Amino acid sequence: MFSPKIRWTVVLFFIILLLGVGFQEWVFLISLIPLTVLIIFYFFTSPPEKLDLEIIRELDQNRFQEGEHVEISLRIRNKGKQSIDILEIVDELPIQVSLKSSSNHILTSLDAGEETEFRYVISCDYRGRWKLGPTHVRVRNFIDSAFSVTTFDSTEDRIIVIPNFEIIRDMPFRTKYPKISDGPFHSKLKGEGLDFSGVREFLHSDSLARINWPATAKYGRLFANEYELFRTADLLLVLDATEKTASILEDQIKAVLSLSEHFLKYKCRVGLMIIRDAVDRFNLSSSRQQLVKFTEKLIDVQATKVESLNILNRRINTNIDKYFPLNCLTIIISPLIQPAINKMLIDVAKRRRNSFFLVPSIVSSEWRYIKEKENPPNLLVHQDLLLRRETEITRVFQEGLVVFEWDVNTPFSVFMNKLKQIAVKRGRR
Amino acid sequence: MSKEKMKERKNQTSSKEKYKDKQDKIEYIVEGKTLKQVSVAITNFSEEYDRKIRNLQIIAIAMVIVISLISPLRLLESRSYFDFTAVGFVTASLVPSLIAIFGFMRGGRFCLYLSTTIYGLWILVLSNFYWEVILLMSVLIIYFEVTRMIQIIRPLLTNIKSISRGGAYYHAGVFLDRYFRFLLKFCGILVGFSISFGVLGWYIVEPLPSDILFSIFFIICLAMLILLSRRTLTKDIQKILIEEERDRMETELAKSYSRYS
Repeated sequence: MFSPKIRWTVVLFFIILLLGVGFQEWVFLISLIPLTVLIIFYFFTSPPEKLDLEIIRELDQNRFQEGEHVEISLRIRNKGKQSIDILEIVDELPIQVSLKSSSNHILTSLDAGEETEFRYVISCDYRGRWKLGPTHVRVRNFIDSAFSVTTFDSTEDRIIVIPNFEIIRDMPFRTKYPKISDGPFHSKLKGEGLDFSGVREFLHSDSLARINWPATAKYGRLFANEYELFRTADLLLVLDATEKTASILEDQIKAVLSLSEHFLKYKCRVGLMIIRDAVDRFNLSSSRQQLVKFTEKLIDVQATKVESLNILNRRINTNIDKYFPLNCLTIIISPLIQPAINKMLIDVAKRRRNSFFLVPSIVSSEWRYIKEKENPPNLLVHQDLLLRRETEITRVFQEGLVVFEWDVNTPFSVFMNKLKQIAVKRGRR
Repeated sequence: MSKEKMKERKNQTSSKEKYKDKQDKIEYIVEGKTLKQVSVAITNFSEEYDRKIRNLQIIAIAMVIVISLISPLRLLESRSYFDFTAVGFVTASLVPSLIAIFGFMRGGRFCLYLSTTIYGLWILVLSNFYWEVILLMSVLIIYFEVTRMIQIIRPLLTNIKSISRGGAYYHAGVFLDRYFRFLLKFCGILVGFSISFGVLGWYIVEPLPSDILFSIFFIICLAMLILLSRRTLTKDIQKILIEEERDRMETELAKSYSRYS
């Protein structure tokens, strides 16, 4: 197809011609000679009408971690007999990925039978299942007077971006109901174990290897080290993915996966309940496949509006009562932003024997995106939101429940480490 | 220069070449086996692209300078207000042409059209000799084409990080190499054919009476217009008709497969 450029040139040609004829000016007519040569050039250098291109996408794998950089490669071959002067290629990308190096929109040139490789690097910014391609191709001649456009659907490819999680080193949480087998929970029962808990006076039944020599030297009596036992326990994670949690859902998912990974590593049984308009349930299991199952589900989880709170409440209660034992440690991960949902979650926590809230701070999460922080109206709104949040958290406290507040600007593993340090200090006091 | 120094220089150049040869290819060896061999670019592709685009800009600037420098010569012959105004306009249009070439600010495309119009009007209104018109019109066309090409390529590569072979800069470099070759051919054909036609026309057509000359010219132009419109318009209409037909067929298909049909 010819571009508008050729039409404008022809229009210009006729304007000059008419002016030349009208004024009987030979200069005007002579100036048409280069224009005529140009139009003939436009006419004879048009690109091939039918493109004989072969485009193949080369992707080694289709599962990537969130934030991972991926090199996309397209192999392009001109199978036609005519060379392509300007080959413009646009490889369509979803908005959830961003370009890191090179570009998905290039300009190149291909001779007949020539093959080339087109590469660029993207970063997978958001978890989910996204589509790469199709590839749009526009062919033009060097003078840009004609073009043809084709779309190659065969290059479409799907990628799966898996949510990230952090490796937790220190576990601050305790359970009231540990099991007999070894695990990550610190038991109040004293005995042999891995973690140092304190020093006490030496008893005759103690082995000599446990004597704490510095303490003995200091006090003039024999002192022995005391260790804590590690125990496994059942763990239920309740994820609040209702409408208003949208801006913090990524952080919540990261927390869920980090906790699951840590406990599953120590062979604890871990279950998950995702509260949206519907309730998704994963029964307790200590298998490593459990983490894969969680990840597969959490790839697609989006915050959704709850149509009926009554139905949701009934669903939550039915699921939780039927499938999870009462004494399993229940961690409810919610920003406590919607009073009606909060009420429901408090009710869930009260029904359990052993539960607490992990509350990522949605206000601080959203505040980091505000540019004019010193602006009085913004500050006022921020203060108001903080106050509302405090009210909600106090309501949970009043019910006698424990709340761990996580500022999402701090990495989850660092937050857990700090919590552990606080727990240790309190224990010593 | 002494023979020793010459020898030393030769040695230096040969060692450089050897170094280049060594640098040219890298082998990925795992457990004694060569997995792949990758050739390494000696200069960065983005630097190479910058150099090529700078060359294009130099060509465009040279064209602008040719047109602009000829305009003050007009004042040697006559110094009417009209001449001064025309020279002023041409000199002033240096600004939009520089904006169009270097893209200092927004509106590069408009600046290109504006400067081309001013230069074109100047060439048409104030030229005296036929070769002058032909040459200046050819120069104007080259300026327009080169600047337009700069404007097409540059936005594609702003704020883009360079990677090795296969990236956007590499491909732009390949394209620009071929474009330079084409440009050489294009300039040759444009100027060569225009001057040949001009000279031939001058001696062949001049003896003919002007009425006959204009009517012949007009017929040729009409024939060209019909030919061009057949190639341009009919293709567009065909495309529209095909798309309409496809839409109609898709609707029919959807209707026939709908459970409400």
